[in-house]
Amino acid sequence: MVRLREISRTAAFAWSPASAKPLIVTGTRAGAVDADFSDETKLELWDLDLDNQDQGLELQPIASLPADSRFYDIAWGQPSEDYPKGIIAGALENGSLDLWDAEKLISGDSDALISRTTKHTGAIKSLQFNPLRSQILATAGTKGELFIYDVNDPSSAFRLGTAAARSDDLECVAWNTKVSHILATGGSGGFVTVWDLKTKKASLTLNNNRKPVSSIAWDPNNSTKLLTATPDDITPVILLWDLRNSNAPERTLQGHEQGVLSVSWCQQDGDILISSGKDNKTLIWNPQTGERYGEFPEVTNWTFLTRFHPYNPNLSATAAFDGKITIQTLQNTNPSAVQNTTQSHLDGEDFFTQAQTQPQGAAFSLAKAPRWLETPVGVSFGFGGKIVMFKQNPSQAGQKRSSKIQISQFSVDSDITSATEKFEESLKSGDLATICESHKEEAQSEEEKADWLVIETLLSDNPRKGIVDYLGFSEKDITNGTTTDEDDKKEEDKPKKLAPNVKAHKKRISTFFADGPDADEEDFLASLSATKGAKTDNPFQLFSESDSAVEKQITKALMLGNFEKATEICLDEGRMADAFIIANCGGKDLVDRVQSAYLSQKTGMPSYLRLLGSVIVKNLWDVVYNADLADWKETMVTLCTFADPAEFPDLCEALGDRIYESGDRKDASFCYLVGSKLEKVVDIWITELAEAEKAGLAESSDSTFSVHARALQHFIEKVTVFRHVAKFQDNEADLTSGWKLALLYDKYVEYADIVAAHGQLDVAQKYLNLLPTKYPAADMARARVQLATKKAPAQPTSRQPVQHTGAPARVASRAQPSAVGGYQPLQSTPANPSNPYGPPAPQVPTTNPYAPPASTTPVPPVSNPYAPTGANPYAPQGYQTPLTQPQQMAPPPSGYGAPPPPSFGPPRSSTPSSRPPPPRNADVGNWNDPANWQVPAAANTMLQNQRLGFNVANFIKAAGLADPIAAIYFNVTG
Amino acid sequence: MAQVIANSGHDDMIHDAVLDYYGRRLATCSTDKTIKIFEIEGESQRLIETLKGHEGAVWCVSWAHPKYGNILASAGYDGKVFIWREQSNQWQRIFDFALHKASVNMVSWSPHESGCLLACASSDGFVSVLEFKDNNFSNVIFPAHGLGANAVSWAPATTPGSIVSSNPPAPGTLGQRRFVTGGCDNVLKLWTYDPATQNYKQEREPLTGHTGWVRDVAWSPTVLQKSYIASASQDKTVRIWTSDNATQGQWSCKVLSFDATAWRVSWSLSGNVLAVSTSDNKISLWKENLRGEWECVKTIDE
Repeated sequence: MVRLREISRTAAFAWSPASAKPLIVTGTRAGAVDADFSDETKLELWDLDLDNQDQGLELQPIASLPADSRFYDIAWGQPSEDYPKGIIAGALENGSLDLWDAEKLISGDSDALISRTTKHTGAIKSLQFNPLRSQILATAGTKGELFIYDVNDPSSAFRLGTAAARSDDLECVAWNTKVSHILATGGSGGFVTVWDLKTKKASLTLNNNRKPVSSIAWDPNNSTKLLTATPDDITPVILLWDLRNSNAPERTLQGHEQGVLSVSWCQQDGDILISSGKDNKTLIWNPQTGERYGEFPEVTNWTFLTRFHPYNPNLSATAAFDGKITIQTLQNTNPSAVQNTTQSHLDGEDFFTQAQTQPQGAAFSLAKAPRWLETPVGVSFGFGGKIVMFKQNPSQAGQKRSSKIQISQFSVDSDITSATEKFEESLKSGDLATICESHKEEAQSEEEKADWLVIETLLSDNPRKGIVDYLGFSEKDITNGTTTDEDDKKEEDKPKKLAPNVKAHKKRISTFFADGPDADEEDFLASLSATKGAKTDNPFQLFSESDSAVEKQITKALMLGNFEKATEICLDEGRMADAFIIANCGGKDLVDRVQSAYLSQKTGMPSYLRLLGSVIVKNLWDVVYNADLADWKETMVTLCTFADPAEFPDLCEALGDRIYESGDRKDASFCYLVGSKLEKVVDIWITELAEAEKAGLAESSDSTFSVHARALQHFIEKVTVFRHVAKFQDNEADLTSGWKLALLYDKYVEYADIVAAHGQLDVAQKYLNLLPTKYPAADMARARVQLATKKAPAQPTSRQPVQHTGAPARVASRAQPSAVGGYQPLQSTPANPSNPYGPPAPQVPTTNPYAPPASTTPVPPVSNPYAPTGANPYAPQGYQTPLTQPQQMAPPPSGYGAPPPPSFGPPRSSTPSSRPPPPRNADVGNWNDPANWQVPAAANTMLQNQRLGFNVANFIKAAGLADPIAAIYFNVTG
Repeated sequence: MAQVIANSGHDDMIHDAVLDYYGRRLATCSTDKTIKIFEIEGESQRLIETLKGHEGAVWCVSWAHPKYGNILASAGYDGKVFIWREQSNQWQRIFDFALHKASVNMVSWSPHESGCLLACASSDGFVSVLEFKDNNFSNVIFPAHGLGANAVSWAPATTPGSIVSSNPPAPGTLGQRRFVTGGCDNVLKLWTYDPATQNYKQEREPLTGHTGWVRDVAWSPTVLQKSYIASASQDKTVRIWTSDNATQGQWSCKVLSFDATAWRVSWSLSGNVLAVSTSDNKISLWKENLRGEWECVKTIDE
């Protein structure tokens, strides 16, 4: 019970009905003398200002208006369109009903008064707004007068009952909480009358044991029940009536020592009632059972009015004739700390004045948690697309309450699920072509489309040919083109009988393309030679008249079979063609020499020759590095045609790199794709992924997640298909760092997360398996999926009996002291990184990482699958303290263990012995007992205090003999 | 398909039920002052432990990331926060926190990247953050909602948008400590850790709009372009607050209306689906549609 605020007034009060910012309106109470003997009568407004830590206990009014007459009661109606902050109604001693506009009052407007209606001939004692129809108001007063108003037209009020019928004073009026046309009145005459507005007649009368009635409260949930308070000092009781049996009360609440003046039944929890009375006490009850939960601190004069906050039942206020209205909260578990806070506001002289009036009596906490804190229904998600729900089972009154839990598989994002399923299906059937086809159609960008085209091409039986085709060099074009070139060239040199050879050559080229990477370049060169060899068909004279000296020398060398010499002479003489021919006879080495001599000597040669040069010396790097990028397609075709299969990927990569540097991502990615350079293409695709996502967001205004997931799905599909097509082998799976594909791995982890969240754990696992074993993010993710997908563990036969008895399996390991004593020793090496929570394979069957080790095996310290890794903050270095040294674990002798010094203790020194030792199992619950709480005495302020709040005694108890970790905490927090 | 635990063994109402990191263990808590732990095995479940120690109703349970051990935090009407650990198949209470002066209504572990931090929201109006680090424990406690704090939820450790770009996030952006709280004052407040003062600072003006208590808050774990916060209220609405990366600090709001008090909100692990539970015993799942509006994609009724 925390006293939150105080209002220094002897006044009737009402809470603002607003749900936020709690306000209280007060009107100077009739029939009381103020502390300062002033005869001023005021309507005042107070803001509790609970967010303000600097606000002291005592409030100052935020608005104040003079009133003509004193108040017996005051009420604050629900907001309406005309009055957005509601209407305040005052029951005045002079018999008039005054209505104020709350909004104007709050803003300090002096014309807040809406109307003044005087229907009563005597004082109005009580009034209440109808809780269901907030414009209807009832007032009750002396001489049995009872009026019903519509606040929009108060002058049209009508009276219930007649003057003759009842001349006793009415003290209280209360509307039924469920039926809007029913209300009850009570008064000095000892009768409670239930009125029906429909008939405008009394429908029922309770005799209330012929005792006067000071206050009435209807059951918040049951329209036939109500409570009456008896102000009589001889029988200070509260009676619970059920109107279905009006002869006798259903229950009598006895506890007040003198007359009861006010009751307030909590609207949010029918099991809580506050009552106050002439014994200066404010009691809290369960009106259904009659159980008394406790009481607010006693004050020094009658507590004449108590009221729950209508919306926030944590708050209630009680007004007393000692000149104070106390605002308190029902919730408190730490009275000693609270008292400290309270006292910190006191100083010097103030202390004594305060101490004198300091309320007596014990603070308490509700033994039962109030209903408004009880979450009845909830939902949360779990890993693997699970959704957990709990809800309360319907139950009859008096029955034990219970809840049901339901775990279901959740499949809302059908997009992702179906996309993943479709893709995995296609993968399984090996139908990659279809995947490519559909992606090509769906492609959002040219780049995307191109990627899929290339992948599809690579998929074909003859990838290089496909590439060439794709680049727009159909076989026909190439052969024709080549033929023309070759023809021209050869026509020049050897005009005759070339046709068949050229055809043969053409065929070779075709074969080349057809054979793809397996084609043999030697053949090609051979065929070239053959072409040249064909010239022998052309007869010629060895030494003719016209021969020069040189020619004769050559001829001579030839005749001698010295082809080398002959070739050299030809070269010296610049007779290239001759040199070729001769070299041809002299073998391949010689031909090569001539070729290179020819090519190196030529400047400004036609590009085909340079290309030829590269082809001949098998150095395509020249082409790749030096060919004009405008002709990259041609370069690619050349690579496809000539490159050594071993070198092909690197050549493609080099070409791709050049293109990429020049800024053309699409063509670069083409090269990488052709070259099966996954890491390079992935880099590009990841960039594209980000862009696709951005574009998707800009275009579709789809949810961020959907766009992201879709983009990621496309990316993963592309990579996966490409891996299949390129038969990609990750050679870095065993590395421990510096992976080229790290970015891809990240995407795999993310993707696995998403599909796992949609319940497709097997798919998630598949992608996680593609990660290197040592990849940092992989461990956790893999372990998670593995644990989540584990089938029910096969129980070792030795433990079966344990299971049958229903006892938890952990019993087995509990029997082993070694496991308990030596749990989790320090490890110099981290736990098995592939599954940090899993036990080492040899000790425990991997099928059940949660299971304790079989009882026959000595328990290894690391065998707990849940054992944290070395980074575990709960496993401090120092906890290895041997158990044989209990003194080390004992809490420090002073400090937290010592009870607070008396001066800081709760101000209940007048009854120091009244508190028994805390019975820990008591139903009423003494768990808030300060004796159980070890709050440092100096802890006056809550702000930023690095204080230790745990309970040492309980702690030790709970931790068993001596928990070494506990020892650590004791030590470190000192 | 649904697996029902009709007889939980609890003697009274259940107030929370959460699965652990692996989805293999379920922790529940109840007015009966106990916490129960079930092992979920396929379609069946087995009660493996009942934890006793709270002296009032237990409102909330929360599993820590397994990196820190097999750790469960609980909070209850007795104003206490307990931390439980399982080792060698034995559960033990390893820590008590009793600085709150009233019911602790919710506890929530931070994203593991930010450290081993537990935020607690209490009816005493204060919010506390416990930190376990280097064998040490420390806490900060500060006033948050004068009328009572009901709920707390951590922001993801990474700032939104940082993983969308292919660039690695800047070092400072990892492991941020930021959370949202909701209370009986009908507002949400955002808090960020300030290393200079070693305390949590309120980021901006409270998010206002609810006309009833904020019963639950949930910060979406998504780290895409936008931040999403869902809040459930007694005013029978759920509000979804969105902040764009571009408009840091600006939160726009969409309102979902229900027939009864909204008690709990929970985001799916990917952060794209929101589950709402209302006191008419209905559970509904919500998703942002193509036009950026939220639509109910599924209702799980009695």
